[in-house]
Amino acid sequence: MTFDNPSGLWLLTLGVPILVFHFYKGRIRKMPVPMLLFWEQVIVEEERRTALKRLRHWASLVVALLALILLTSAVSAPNVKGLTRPRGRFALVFDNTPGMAALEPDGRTRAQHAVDRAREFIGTLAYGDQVSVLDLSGARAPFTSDLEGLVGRLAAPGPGPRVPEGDRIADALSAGEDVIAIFFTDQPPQGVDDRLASGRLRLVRVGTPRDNSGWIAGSSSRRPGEKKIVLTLKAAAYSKAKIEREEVLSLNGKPLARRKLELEPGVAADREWVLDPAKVPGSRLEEGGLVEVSMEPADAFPPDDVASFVLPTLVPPSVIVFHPGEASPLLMHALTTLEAGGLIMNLSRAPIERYESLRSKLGEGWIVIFDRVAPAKSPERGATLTLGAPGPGAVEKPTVVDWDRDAPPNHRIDYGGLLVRRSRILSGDPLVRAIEGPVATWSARGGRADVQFGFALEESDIAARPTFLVMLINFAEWASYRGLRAFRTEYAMGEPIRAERKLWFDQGELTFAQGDHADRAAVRQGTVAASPSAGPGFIRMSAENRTEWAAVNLFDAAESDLRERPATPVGEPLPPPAPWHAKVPYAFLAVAGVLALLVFEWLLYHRGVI
Amino acid sequence: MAFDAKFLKTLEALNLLARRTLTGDDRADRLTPRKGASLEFNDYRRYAPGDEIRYIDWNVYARHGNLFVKEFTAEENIHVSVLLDTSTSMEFGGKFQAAKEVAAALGYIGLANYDTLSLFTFGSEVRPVKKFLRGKGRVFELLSAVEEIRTEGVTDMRRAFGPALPRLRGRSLILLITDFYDLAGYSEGIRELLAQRFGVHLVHVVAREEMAPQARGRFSLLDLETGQSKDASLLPRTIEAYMRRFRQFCTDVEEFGRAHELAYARILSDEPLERRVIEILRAGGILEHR
Repeated sequence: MTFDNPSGLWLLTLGVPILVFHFYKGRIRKMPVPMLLFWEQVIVEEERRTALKRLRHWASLVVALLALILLTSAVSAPNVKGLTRPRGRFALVFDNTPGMAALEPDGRTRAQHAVDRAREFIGTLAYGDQVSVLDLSGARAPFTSDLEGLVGRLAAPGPGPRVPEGDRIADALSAGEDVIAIFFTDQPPQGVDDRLASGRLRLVRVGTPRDNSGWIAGSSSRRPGEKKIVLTLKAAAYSKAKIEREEVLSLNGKPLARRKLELEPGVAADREWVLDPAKVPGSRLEEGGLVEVSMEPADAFPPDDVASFVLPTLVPPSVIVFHPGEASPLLMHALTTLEAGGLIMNLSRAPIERYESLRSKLGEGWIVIFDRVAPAKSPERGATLTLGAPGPGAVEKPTVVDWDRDAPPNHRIDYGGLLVRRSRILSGDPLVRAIEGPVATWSARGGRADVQFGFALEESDIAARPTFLVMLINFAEWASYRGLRAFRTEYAMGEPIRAERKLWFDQGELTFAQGDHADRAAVRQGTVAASPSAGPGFIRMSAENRTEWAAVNLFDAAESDLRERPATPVGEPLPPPAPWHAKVPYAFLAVAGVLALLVFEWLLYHRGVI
Repeated sequence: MAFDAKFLKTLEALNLLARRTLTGDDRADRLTPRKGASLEFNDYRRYAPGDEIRYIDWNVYARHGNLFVKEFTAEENIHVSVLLDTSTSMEFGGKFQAAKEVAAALGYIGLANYDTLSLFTFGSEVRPVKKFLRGKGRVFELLSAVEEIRTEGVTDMRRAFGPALPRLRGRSLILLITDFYDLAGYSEGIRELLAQRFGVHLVHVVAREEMAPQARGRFSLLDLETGQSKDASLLPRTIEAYMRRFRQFCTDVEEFGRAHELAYARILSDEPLERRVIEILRAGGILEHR
C-alpha cells in the first residue's frame, strides 16, 4: 500500500484521545427517584428491544474509529493494489493528416468524429487521471487532470503533414512508462506493431472507406516573354467505377470556363488549362490573381477537389538606369534586347543626380539599375541591380571559382572562365565567388530584391558572353515578382507556411487569414515566429499595408485514396470505463462516509433508534 | 406551617363529603341513618307506650283514628381520619411538604365541621399522631403535629392496613394522602380499609419532576425508599417510555378508585396550596361547599 500524502497518516494519532475518552467513564451523576421500579421497567424494556443496544458502547467506538480512518484516508490518499484504481495517464494522439478532413455520411469530418470519440473516452476516465493531447504535426497540450476543461477545449486539429506515426507516438509515450497513447486515426498506422502488442498504444479508428477523386498534382508555368500561363494538372479516381465530374476554372473567384472530366479507376488523367489574356478579354489576367480549378459536384473529400494557383502579373517590369553621366553601351544594348523581347518595358536612363527626386516614384513594378554609381539610399520597393559601384575593397583580376547555382538570378548560368579585370569584394550572400571573396551578391526581402556586382561590365568579359543576358532575363523574371515575395506562392496542405526570406518589415505583427479563420504571429527582425498550416485554398499574409497570397493544395495521392488499406494488428481495446465511484474524488467519498457515520451515531444515541 | 385568615375562611366554607353514610359519636350537623332529634322528618310508626307524646301526629289521628308518632333523622358528626404517607419516596419533588399542607387543610375542614379528626402516618405500619380532635380550637394542635411529622421507611399498605386500624371505632372517613408508591401493591392495602367499612378518599400527590423528568444523560438512579441504584442513560426515548409508564400508573390508581367508588384527586406538589385544595374540590367526591 502506498500513500499519495503519507504525512496525512499523522491524523491516526487522534485515535489515542478517542480511545481515552471512550473508556473514561468519569463520575456518573446520581439522581434520586421516588421509586426505581418504573425506571427499571422502561430501561429493561428498552434493552430487550434489540440486542444491538448492548453493543452500543462498542458500536460508538467503532463509529468514531471508522470516521477517523476515513478522514485519514481522505487526507493521505492511499493506493491499495487491487482495491484502488491507479491513476492513468493517457496521451491522445490525433491524426491530423489531410485525410481526416474527409466527410462521413453524416456530413461531419473524420477529425470531428475523432474529437467526439476522444470526448467519449475522456468521459470514461476516473478522477485524477491525466490526459495530454497532441497531433501528428507535433502540436501538444500538456498533461492535465482537468478533464472537463479539456473536453471543453478539445477541437479538431488543423491539417498537418503526414509524418511517420511511430515517431510521434514514441514522442507521446516518452512522457513516462505509465503513459498509454490513444491514437485516433482513419487509416491503420504503420510501424507501430510492437507498441500495439505491448498495450501502450491503443487504436481508435474513425471513418469508413470511401470512393474519391481529386487532383493529385498541379503546376503553373509561363515562358519568359510569353503572356499566357499554362496550368498542368493531374487527376485520379480511387473507386471501382468510372467517375464523372466537371472541372471549373475561376479567376479571383469568378468562373471563367467549365468542362467535363471523366476519370477511370486507377488511371491518372493529365489535364491542362492555358490562360491566354488574349483569349479571355476583360478578365484582367495580365494583372495576375488567384486561379482555381475545382471539381464539381462535391464529393466525400473536398480538400483534393480544388487546385489553387497564385499567378504573377504578366506585365513586364519597367527599367530605369542611373549612370554617372553616360550609361554603359553594353548594358543598354542588353536591356534594349530584353525590351525588344517583351521581357521589360519602359526602359529609361537618368544621371544619378536625379535619383533622389525619382526615388519615391519607383514602385514594385520597377527594376532600378545603378551603373557604376551608388545611391545614398536604396529604393524602398522593387528590384535593384548594381554594377561596379565605387567603393573600397577593390582587387585586381579576381579569379572566379564558384557561384550559387540555386540562386534564382543564376538559373541556367555558367560563370566558368569569367575574366574580371578589377572588382570590389562584396559582403552578403555570394552570387559569384572569387578566390578573394564574393564579387557578386544577391539578397531578397519581402518587397525588395537586390543583385550587386562588384565590377562594371566594361571591366570584365561578361557582356561578351550569353551569361549576362541570361542573368538579366533571370533577374527580370525573378526580381520583378518572385524576388519581391517573402512567402512562396504555393504550399502543400498541412505544410507549415514559413517565409522564405525576410519580411517587408522588421517589427510588428503578421496576420495569416484563410476564410473566416485568422491567426496572428509576432515578427521580430523581419522574421515571423509562427508557421501555421492551412487547408486547401488561398491564405493571405498581411501587415503594414502589404499583402501576399499563397495557394495551398493537397496534391497527395496517398491522402486522396480513402479506400480501405491493409490492416495492422488491432492491439488491445481501450481501457474500460472507470466505475462511478472512481469518477468522484476519494476525499469526497470519505467525507461523505464520515458524515454518514455521524448521522448513524446521531440516530444511535440521540434518536435512540437502537 | 400557617394558614392566612382568608384561606381559613375558604376552608371553613367547605365540607368533607362521605360517599357512604357514616355514623359518629356526637351530635353534629351531619345526617346519619340513625333516628334522632333533628328537624329532618324520616318516617311514621305506630305509637307505642313510652313514646314521646309530643311526636304524635295529631292530624293523622284526626283522619284515621290511629296514633302515629313522627320519626326524625339523627344529626351526628363523623370520624375523619387523615392517613399521611411518610415513606421516603414522598421526599421527592416536595411531595411530602405538599401532602402535609393538604392534610392540615383537610383536617381543618373536618374540625370546622365539628367532625372528629384523627391524624395517622403510615409507611409499613400505621402510627397515630393525633386522635379524636374536635372543634376549630384544636387546629393549632393539629398544625404543630403535622409540622413535626418526618419521613421514614418504605410504603407497604397491605402490611400497614391489614390489621385493624388502632383505636378507630365505627365507620370512619379516611383521607389517604399518598404517592401510591408501594412495591407490594397499593390495591391490597386499600381493599383492607374498605373491608373494614371505612369510607376512603384517595389524594394522589405527584411531583412535576416525576411526571416529566428533565434530566438527560447518564445517571445513577437512586431509589429513595430502598436505597438501591441503577446506572442508566436517560435518552429521550427512555424518558418518553418512563412518562408513558408513569401516566399508566396514575390512570391505574384512578381506575382503581373509580372501580371501588372511591373519590380520587391528584395534586401537583409544586402548586400553591389554594390551588391544590381547588383541585381536590374539582375532582369531586371529597369536598363540597357547605
